[in-house]
Amino acid sequence: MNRKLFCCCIFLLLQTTLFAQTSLGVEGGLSSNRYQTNITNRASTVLTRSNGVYVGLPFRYAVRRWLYLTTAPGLVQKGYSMDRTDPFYGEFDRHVNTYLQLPVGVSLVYSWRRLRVSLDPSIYAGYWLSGRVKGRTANIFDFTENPGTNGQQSESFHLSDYSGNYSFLSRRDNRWEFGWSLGLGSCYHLSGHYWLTGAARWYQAMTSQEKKAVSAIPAYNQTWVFSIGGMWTLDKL
Amino acid sequence: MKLYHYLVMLFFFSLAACHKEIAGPASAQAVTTWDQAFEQFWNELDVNYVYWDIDTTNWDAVHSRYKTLFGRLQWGDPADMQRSVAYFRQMTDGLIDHHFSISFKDTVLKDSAVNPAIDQLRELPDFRYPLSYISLDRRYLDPGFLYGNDITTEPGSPLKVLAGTIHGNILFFTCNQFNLAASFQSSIPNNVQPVLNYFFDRLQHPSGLKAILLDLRDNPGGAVADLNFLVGRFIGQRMVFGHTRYKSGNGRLDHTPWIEASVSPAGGAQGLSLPVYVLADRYSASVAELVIMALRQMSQCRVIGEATYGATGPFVENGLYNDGPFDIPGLLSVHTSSAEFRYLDGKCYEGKGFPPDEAVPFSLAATGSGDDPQMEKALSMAE
Repeated sequence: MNRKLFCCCIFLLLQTTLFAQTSLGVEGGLSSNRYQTNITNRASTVLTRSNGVYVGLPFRYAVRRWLYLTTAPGLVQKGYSMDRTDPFYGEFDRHVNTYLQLPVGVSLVYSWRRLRVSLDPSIYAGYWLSGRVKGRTANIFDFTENPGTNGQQSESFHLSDYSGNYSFLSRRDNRWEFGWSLGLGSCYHLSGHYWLTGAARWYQAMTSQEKKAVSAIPAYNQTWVFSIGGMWTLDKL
Repeated sequence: MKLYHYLVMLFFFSLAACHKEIAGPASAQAVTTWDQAFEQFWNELDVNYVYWDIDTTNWDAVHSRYKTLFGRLQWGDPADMQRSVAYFRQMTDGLIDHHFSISFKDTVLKDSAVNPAIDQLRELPDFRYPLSYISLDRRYLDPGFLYGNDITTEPGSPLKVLAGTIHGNILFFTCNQFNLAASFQSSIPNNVQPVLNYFFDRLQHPSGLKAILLDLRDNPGGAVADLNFLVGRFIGQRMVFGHTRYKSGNGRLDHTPWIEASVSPAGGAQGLSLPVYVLADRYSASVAELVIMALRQMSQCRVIGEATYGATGPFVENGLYNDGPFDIPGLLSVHTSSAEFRYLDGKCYEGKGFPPDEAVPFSLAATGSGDDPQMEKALSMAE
């Protein structure tokens, strides 16, 4: 009986505390991803960043005035492009991958009048939901022969385009991604329960996007996410 | 506030730490030990081979087993150099890419070669060596047939062509390899040009003909340009006959999506409605197989003979797709396909060969006495 009473009291206390110190919100913005791997063996090829979008639902719980527990489940696009250069300029292979991501961390907050700035370290888990691949490459069966000056012919290959959904392979693709994140955030108190938020966060994957058994060379996502949004505190002012 | 200072510093240190370098595969580097040679060969094939999705070779197990063996070899020791050839052969003997071969540059090894496809053929109970059918074909042709060769366009590998009619109404053509377009377009007159002119003219004006018969047996392939050059004379509009894909990254299973492989009609060509019969055997390889598969896409075409060689993926120099052939400077050169080819039926015939519609096995006894059961089967179907 005493145990039930104790649990009930804790529950009520938690409810009150949660109500008093919790913030919910919505945020969106842009992502910029770098595919961290090594392609130095691939001739006339460069890896370029790819930009995407981000949407998230931030949630904060205050432990102290300067310390919050945070999470922000969201969707983030992490893409990259392998672009050919020199004589192969115009050929490319571009990937846009969408991840469902759940970071869990803390927020170290400094308040100054209506403004709060924070440092936000966290760890995260992501799941690779879908991918799109688009590209252009030489078609080995489609070319024009050019007569050379010394009787030797050369070929000008015509380019073929491709575009479609990425086909996942369980042997190849590591769809779960784990890593850490660090960010700088700011909140501006508009009025009442409402806050305007902005953040820049860096996500570093610690797991390769390709399984080790099929790729001797790992490939990690490194993603900047820039977001703005709004938060609503559940405090009774 | 001190805590914040430490955390902000930690933030920037962390960002700097993110730029750690990932080692890439050893590639195109001069080697001075067998361990280096092995690592480079293993890595190059790991990233350049296009068939890892369907090849059953356990490449990781190969690394585990042969790293130690190569590590025991002494660089420069002629006996160990010979041992290395045996190891390279064992490492690759199960590869399905029938274009795969290793040739050695070192003077001690220059006469050595590794060719898993040939080794796999030799293990067949009915193994036989290639047989040139041109002299047999002549026996079936009506008088007045045309024969020509070209020793100028590719001096080291003369092109031979033969065309004519059989029974007055079956148009026949054969060639010993594919380099037809180059010889036909060569500014140096050659004996192949009039034969091709005759054959193409009869294709364009087929009155009086009841069938076309092509003999592509014992044809090792050649120039991919001949696919359009020859098959383009049989069709009136673009014809898709399969799909290709290439490596798109360093991962073993990194491929581009499938891209249509098609043949375009030659200028002025009209769709041919006559039945087309193609003779194929286990030495019909590479472009010869592609020609057979493309022609078979026409509803009136039938293939007679044996399953082909199974080297369906074309190859070009590595830089075009960052896959396929590669070198280890000063030691060896590897030929391997640049593209994985899948026929329009969704099947990949690499390493297996394209099967005939009418299987007629090779008969040494029959060919020895001047008969050709495969040709006779085709003629009976054409009658």
